[in-house]
Amino acid sequence: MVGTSTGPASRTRPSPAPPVRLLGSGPRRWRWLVLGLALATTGALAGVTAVERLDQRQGVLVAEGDLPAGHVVGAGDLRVVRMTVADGVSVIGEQELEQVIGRPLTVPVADGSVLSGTALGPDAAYPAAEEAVVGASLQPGRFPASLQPGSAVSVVVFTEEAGGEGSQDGAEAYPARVQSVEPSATDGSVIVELAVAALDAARISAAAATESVAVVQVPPRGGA
Amino acid sequence: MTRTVALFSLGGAPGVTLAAMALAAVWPGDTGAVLVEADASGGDIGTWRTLQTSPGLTDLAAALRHGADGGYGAGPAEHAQILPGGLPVCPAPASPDRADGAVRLLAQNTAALAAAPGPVTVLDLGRLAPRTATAHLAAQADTALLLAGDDLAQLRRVQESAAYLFETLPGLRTVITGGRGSTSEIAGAVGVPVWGRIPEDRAGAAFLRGEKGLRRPERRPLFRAAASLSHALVQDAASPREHTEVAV
Repeated sequence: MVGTSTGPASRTRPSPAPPVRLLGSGPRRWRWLVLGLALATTGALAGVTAVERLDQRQGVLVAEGDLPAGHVVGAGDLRVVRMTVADGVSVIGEQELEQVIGRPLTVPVADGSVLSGTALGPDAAYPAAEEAVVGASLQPGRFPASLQPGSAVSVVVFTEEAGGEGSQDGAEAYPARVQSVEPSATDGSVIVELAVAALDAARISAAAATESVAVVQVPPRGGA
Repeated sequence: MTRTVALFSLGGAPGVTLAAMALAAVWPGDTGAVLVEADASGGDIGTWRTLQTSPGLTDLAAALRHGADGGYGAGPAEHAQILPGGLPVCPAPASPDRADGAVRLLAQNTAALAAAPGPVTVLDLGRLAPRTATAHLAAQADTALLLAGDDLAQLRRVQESAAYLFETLPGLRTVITGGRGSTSEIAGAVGVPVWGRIPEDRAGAAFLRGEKGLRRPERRPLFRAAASLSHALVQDAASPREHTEVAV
């Protein structure tokens, strides 16, 4: 490598550029900073989304005012409250409002209580098929004091066709369900509405007109 | 064989540290060069590159008191921090009082510095004033490079001090920084042989300061010039007394 030609020809220009033993590390820091900020933002957004997902409250329908059994539900009878519903609780969500309106209640629903799916009867099926509703005025002593709307009862009709003294066992019983109970104004009697089998309706109605009817409360789904 | 190269200026700020960094970064050969920032007015590299204060110039100066083989691993490379990319650097303290003390100590042990094993040492001396530790370090170096900016004040200063400089620094070469074109006009005007030019290169300077990344830094004018200068220095060491003219 000792240059024999030390003349003016020793002009040097290294043709291949030698490597530079340095790195510029300036903008890379900014890049990392931007990346870090982006990651932090993504994490924050993910956290917010997760918290929103955890809020499992939903709108459910509750009764606005006391609704008796048999009442056909209208839009004014309901309001929406937001609550968290545990599994296994029957509720009607606000999105099902359209399907609820126009359907009858099978049981009375008190003001502010949650409307459950089982409280609604079949659509436009009140009274149900093969059922009829009759009214009767009951004297005190002919109905139990525990009579409530929805109670399963037996309607006892006294038959007095024999008219004689020996025919006291002329009584017939019909299964029925109480729709409403309203105390009368004066004498302690009550006016009840009873859902009965359609075939029995005429018989019971006729007996009720002559006040020869009593109501016996029986266990639900039981008979008398 | 060139073992130590000292770069200094007389005044102004012609970019001595940047030129020294570029020269050390492209020094030919496998071992390359180690940059020692022996600037008595305080160092910049540690700030530019966010380096620790130690190891550095202070540790090197303290170790050299015990000689080149004083049992402390006395070579500059032993007290250098490696910059990203592989350039070893002995950064000077940023404050002048501490840097000046280290430079004085280093100047008292130039023999040990010259005898130190390892790669070539590139000394960034900053501004040189007569009869200082810096001037002593420049005189003891195998090659001294005087850097002057391409403006009237700095060239005038070179012209006025040429007699003193060439008397005390036998291996002195003058390098113009900034500007472009031939240096023969400057050499004629100043009356001093001008050995080479390092052109102005803002991107290359930002790269050296660690402010900017470059995909191919060796293609920048700054590094091309530095490579040309270092190559010429190595060749001149092989054939002494012949200053290779550097074409930049």
